[in-house]
Amino acid sequence: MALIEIENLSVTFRSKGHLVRAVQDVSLSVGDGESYGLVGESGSGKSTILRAICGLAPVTGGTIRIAGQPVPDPRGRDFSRQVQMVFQDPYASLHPRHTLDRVLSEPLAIHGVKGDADRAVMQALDDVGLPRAFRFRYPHQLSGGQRQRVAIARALMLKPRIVLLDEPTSALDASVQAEVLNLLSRLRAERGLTFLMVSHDLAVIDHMCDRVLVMQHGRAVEELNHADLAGAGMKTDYARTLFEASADRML
Amino acid sequence: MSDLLTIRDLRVTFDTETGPVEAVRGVSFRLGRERLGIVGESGSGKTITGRSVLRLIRPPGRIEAAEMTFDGIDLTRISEREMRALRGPRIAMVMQDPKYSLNPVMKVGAQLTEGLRLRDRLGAAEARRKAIEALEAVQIRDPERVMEAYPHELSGGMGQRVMIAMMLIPNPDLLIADEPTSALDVTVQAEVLSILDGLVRDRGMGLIFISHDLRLVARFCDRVLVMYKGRIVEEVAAGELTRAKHPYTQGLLNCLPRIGGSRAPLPGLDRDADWARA
Ligand SMILES: Nc1ncnc2c1ncn2[C@@H]1O[C@H](COP(=O)(O)OP(=O)(O)OP(=O)(O)O)[C@@H](O)[C@H]1O
Ligand SMILES: Nc1ncnc2c1ncn2[C@@H]1O[C@H](COP(=O)(O)OP(=O)(O)OP(=O)(O)O)[C@@H](O)[C@H]1O
Ligand SMILES: [Mg+2]
Ligand SMILES: [Mg+2]
Repeated sequence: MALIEIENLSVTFRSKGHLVRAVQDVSLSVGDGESYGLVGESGSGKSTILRAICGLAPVTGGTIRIAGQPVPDPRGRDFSRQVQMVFQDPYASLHPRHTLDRVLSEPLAIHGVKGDADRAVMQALDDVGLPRAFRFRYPHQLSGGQRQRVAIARALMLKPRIVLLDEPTSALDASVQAEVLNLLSRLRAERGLTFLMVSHDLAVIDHMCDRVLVMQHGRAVEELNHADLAGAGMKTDYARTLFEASADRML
Repeated sequence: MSDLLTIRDLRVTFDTETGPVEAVRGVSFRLGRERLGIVGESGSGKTITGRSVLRLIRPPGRIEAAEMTFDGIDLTRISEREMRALRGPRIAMVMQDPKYSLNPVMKVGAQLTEGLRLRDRLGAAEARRKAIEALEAVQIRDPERVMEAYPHELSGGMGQRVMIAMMLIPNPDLLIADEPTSALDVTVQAEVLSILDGLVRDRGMGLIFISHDLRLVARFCDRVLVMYKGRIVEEVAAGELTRAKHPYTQGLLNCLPRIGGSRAPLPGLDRDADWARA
């Protein structure tokens, strides 16, 4: 059975007389333990799909089910223990006046997780390759890539089953990207995690994902499996254009 | 051709609770009317180097430099007021976190037209026309809607493009672009790069292009500086980047996944090697 099932999802924002149809009639399903990618044009609704799963976007049609159950409204605590999101914009998603220690220990406190919070924070810093000395720094004292690693560490604190990753490595250099991708793959294998991840880099998607959905103008254009992606087996013009514009990252 | 920007022995230090952090440790380079890439791992000092040129380092950060000259102007000497007059019209920077640099409570249109109205004294209609043109140039599909939107109503890549549009409107002589296309898909990215390219070629703008994307820098820039722990460890012609000599640069290139490549764990960077002890 699929762990994440999205059927005919539509999201429409209303802002001052404008209707923005960010997502139109998109369906996808992600199996338990699968890693599923979303790629496509900037503004095509990728982040909005992840936000809709978390209850952070105005859904105007369709259904979202996790493990067979329609998601509750509001999402509530059980949901956030199961599903965590790493946001695209690491600056905006970290509280500017909280130290990393607080950023990382807060989810444990909110959810009443027992145990040694100190050790959990140190372990989390180790896991994403940040020095323990950073523990009492504030987000503005970190580089862009260091902040992104904090965001990933925070999402993993509650040991969720599903992680929604919005451009998790686009702010990272090649070596940290490799570390973070390896970390995500290892955690997925060890903890049986399920990923739904957005990336603009087809090489990252190829490396991480079993299937990928190509999006444009709020709609699903084409779903590709891993072999189709690597073997240029796409059928639509748009998916092919993306592939061909990525010539510099082919083997 | 004279240099647009000369930086000699730039040092930036932050005093933190756990002692001083030397973010930039003796960086020197010259920039002509060309595309200069800066690459290097996270935390290597790329952003701080870029911000130093604009003197945008807040205390407890300190900038020291033997020389920072922009178009004959000594950036280490001029007053804060003179510096403010350079920022924007002559030296612009596209920040790494676009949404953080946009005013969250002001509509995109008002932010784009502000400078045109105050500085260039354009009328409302003319400023609006120019702003919409700038949005169209960066491939925003529905510029009218985006003019009326607040920053939080934009996608990641749209925010990035709004920033680029805003920085390019005053026609700066020097653009420092910090990860300007990291949130863009490859086809929109190609359009944005061709705009930057046109400005360098046709208007003689100088461009400092900070990026993690080694393959992008290799095909887009003229020259590349490779930074590690606050220092420049290598300078190469962009076309030679993928054949770079320095083991650190080679190490970074080896970490990259490839379409159709192996899905085994990616190689890491050997941080115990000799070069890493510098
Ligand atoms: N709060 C909001 N109010 C109004 N419109 C919004 C809001 N959030 C997103 N949108 C619009 O929805 C559309 C899809 O945005 P989304 O962030 O999902 O795109 P994306 O595919 O993630 O793009 P990118 O790759 O650039 O991050 C965009 O046109 C955006 O302007
Ligand atoms: N306000 C600050 N206080 C203390 N240290 C700081 C401060 N700002 C930056 N640093 C440190 O300076 C170093 C260089 O930061 P910088 O932002 O220039 O890195 P970067 O090369 O741009 O990295 P990234 O690619 O991740 O954006 C980092 O180690 C960072 O932690
Ligand atoms: Mg997005
Ligand atoms: Mg940076």
